[in-house]
Parts: sequence; structure tokens; C-alpha cells
Amino acid sequence: MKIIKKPDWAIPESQVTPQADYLTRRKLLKAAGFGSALLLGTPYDTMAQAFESIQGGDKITPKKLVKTYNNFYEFSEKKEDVHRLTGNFNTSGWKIKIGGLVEKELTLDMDDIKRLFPVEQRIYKFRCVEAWAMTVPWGGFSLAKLVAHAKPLSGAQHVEFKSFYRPKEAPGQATSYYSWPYSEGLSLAEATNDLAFLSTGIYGEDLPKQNGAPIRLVTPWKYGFKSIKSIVEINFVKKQPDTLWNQLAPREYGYYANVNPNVDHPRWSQKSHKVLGEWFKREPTKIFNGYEAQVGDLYKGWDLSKLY
Amino acid sequence: MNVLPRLLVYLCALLPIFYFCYEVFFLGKGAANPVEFITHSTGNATFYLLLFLLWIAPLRLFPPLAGVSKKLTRHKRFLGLVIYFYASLHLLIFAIDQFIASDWVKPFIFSGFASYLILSLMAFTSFKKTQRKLPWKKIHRLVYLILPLIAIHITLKEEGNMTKALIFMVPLFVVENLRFKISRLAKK
Repeated sequence: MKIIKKPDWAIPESQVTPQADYLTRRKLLKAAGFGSALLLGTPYDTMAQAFESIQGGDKITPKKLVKTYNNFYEFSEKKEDVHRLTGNFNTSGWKIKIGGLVEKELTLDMDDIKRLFPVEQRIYKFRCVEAWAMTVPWGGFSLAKLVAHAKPLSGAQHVEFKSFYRPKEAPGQATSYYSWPYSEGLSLAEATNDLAFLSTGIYGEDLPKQNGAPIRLVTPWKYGFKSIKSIVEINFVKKQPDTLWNQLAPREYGYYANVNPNVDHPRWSQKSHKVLGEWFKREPTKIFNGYEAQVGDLYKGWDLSKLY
Repeated sequence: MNVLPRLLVYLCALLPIFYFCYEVFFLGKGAANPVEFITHSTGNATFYLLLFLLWIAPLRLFPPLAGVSKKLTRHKRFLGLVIYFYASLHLLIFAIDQFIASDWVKPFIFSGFASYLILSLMAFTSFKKTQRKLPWKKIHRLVYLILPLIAIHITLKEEGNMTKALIFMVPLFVVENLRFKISRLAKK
């Protein structure tokens, strides 16, 4: 007997747009005033808009906002400038070194990655530590698949991620004092949770440079800064690795960085967030960004007010 | 010849609005987080116009610019009120947003609000009538208290990075210090 198991984070069938509505979506869109968007938008945009006009709930964030509002200090500390400053960033011939406590060190290029790990689409909510959020259709694959491929040794407890250091291509790296390259880390249990995702695309296209091309991490139950962009190195290690934000300001940017409305950032509240594109409207932030059912077990018995 | 300084002052007063429109309509900024964008734009307008205004007096130290300084001085009251206008917008949109978020813990609030109170005092004592009645000149020296407050405000906002505050404030501080010393020597 063939058993098809659905991941529990998937949007249920009951929420899928009925075919009749889908077929008449143009009418719906026009009624909702999206007439011009139909002419300009990609199929993804129109689908996303049909989805939001019928279903409500977490709307997919317009692609344009996701591509023009980026926390990527390697290029600029100004989120709306990043996408204009990535011109010199050369992502061709990109390689990822996988090392540390593994059976055999590996170097994979993007062709290897495409061949080894088939792309799937996932719609995740992304919550930044700065109290804003977006909902993005990511393309990529489970980090667990890469971990399995890397064959970590029994001593490996944590996974360390490192990004690039190219001050000639990334103006922010040339002018700021942060301890580049950007680094992040997960415990092995977190890294092999099904939600942990390596993304190579958004909205059905290749990952734009400003969003972390060609490959980045997405951990939707953690604050966005854990989702390291443009990864060049993945190491399996015994001890919890040092990470950029946590080293710089441990009180403000916890190592675990799980989304938690009950633990405020020292300088602002985390109880609610603004959805990109909204003026004043906010929505309440949920524990683990709403993914408690999937990741809650990882932190059972933890005092989250201390281990933040 | 008196038209030119007047034009320059009007241009400076409108520059933040032109720049705002350029960023919104040509660079497409502000769509993702409109409140944050307007807050930053009006804050920057307040900061740069205030610096411009404060540079008018020390310009007198440089002989070729002494004439310009004298002519611009006449427009300082107008410029001050324009600054107050941008500061009010800055505070208003921020306050509405924070009220909705019911989040008042941000540390840069105190330095920002203190600066605003001083600006308010200056704005409301700048009518011709009150200028004559009150020790207006002394009250307006409070503007030099705003400088360190804004330096703190900006530094706290920029993750503790003092670069912006220092780059813009240190030259002014040096020049004003020099002016103060010269005027003391002159009195002796």
C-alpha cells in the first residue's frame, strides 16, 4: 500500500482556491481593482493576488517589495538601497564547501546542487527581528537532504554556515566594521527539521542577488537574521559556532533567535509586527512564527526567556 | 541682490520634499514600509536643515562668505519654522505608529522628544511680539542643547554607530568653538 504523507505545515486542501473561482479569477481580480496588475504581473503575481482576494489570511507579499526591501549589510545598511548595489556581485561559478566533521569534505557547485536536490516550492512566513514580516514562495530543498548527503560524523552537533567576503564586490563590506564574513549556526536537530530549507529561488525565478543568490538558508520559525544569505561554506562542528549578530550584541540578537512575542528585543517589542506594504496595521506575532506544531518539540522544557 | 539668499532659503526648505518625491517616484522607495520611510525622510530633513541653519552664523568667520551669512541671517526665523514643521511630521507619524504598536520602549524616544520640546519652545517664542517681550536671544541659544541630543538620537537609531552623528557635527562644533573664542577675545 502506498501511503502519501503530507507535511503538516502545508496549506490544507480546504484552503486551496476552488477551480471555479480560479477559472473566473480574472473577473475577481478586476472586481478587486487588479486589472492593470494582470497586464503587468507574472503568472505568480496574478496567482498570488487571486489567492489573496479569495482566501484571505497570510497574503503572499508582492514580489516587488520582497526584491526591494532587503537586510543585506554586505551591500548597504539601507534596506531599500541594497538591490541597486549588487551590480558588481558575481555569483557565477559559485561553490559551496562542505567540511568539518563529515566522512569526506565536499565542494559542490550550483549544477551539482540542482542535480542532487530537486527543487520544491514552499510558501513560508518570514519574520524579521526588526518587527516586520513577509510571506514568500521559496524554491529550494530541505536542508536535511544536504545534511544526509554530507554524511556527518557522530561527533557533529552543530552546523555552521558562512557567507562570502568580497569587499570589492560588496560595498557594505568595504565600508563597515562588522566581522565579515556573515556567519550563522543551527544545532543538528534544527538543521534536520523538515522546515529548515535551502532556497535557490523565489516566485518561481532564480534567487535575486539582493535576496541572497545563489543559495541561502530559510528558517521560518527563527528571526530573519538566522537565514544567512549567499552561503559559501557549511561546516559540521562539535560546539555551538560563533555567529555574527550574536557576537556583536548577544543581549539583542540571541543565538537561538526563535520568534517569540513574549521576549522583547531590548530596544523594541516583539509582540506584533508589520506586514510589508502596510502603513500602520500590525498583526500579532505568534510563538515560533506560527510553526510551533513543527518545531515546538525541539525546545520542549526550555526556558525560552533565558535561551532566546 | 537680496532675492538670491531668499531663493536659496526657499529652495532649501523645499529640498526635502523634492528629494522625497525623487525617491518615491524614481527610485520606488517607501512602498514596503511607508511609515518607516516617511519617518526617516522627515527626520533627515530636520537634521540637515538644522545643520544648514547652524552653519549660517559661523560662515562669518570666512571673509568671502561673511556677506552671504549676513543676508541669510534675516531668514533664520523662517528656516527655523520650516525645521519645526518637518520635526512635527517626524514625531507625528512615529507617534501614531508607536501608539498602534503600543511600544514605547525605544531608547531614542527620549533624546528625540527632548529636542522636539526645545524646538517647540523656540517656535512659539519666535513671533515678533514675543521676540520683544522675552529674552528671546537667550532662549534661542537652547538650540545648542539640541545638537548633542540629536547626536545621541541618531547614534541610538544606527545600532550605536556614531559615524553619521560625528561626520556632521564635529566640523560645526569646531567652528562654533572657534567663534566663541574669538568673540571672547574681542570682548577683552
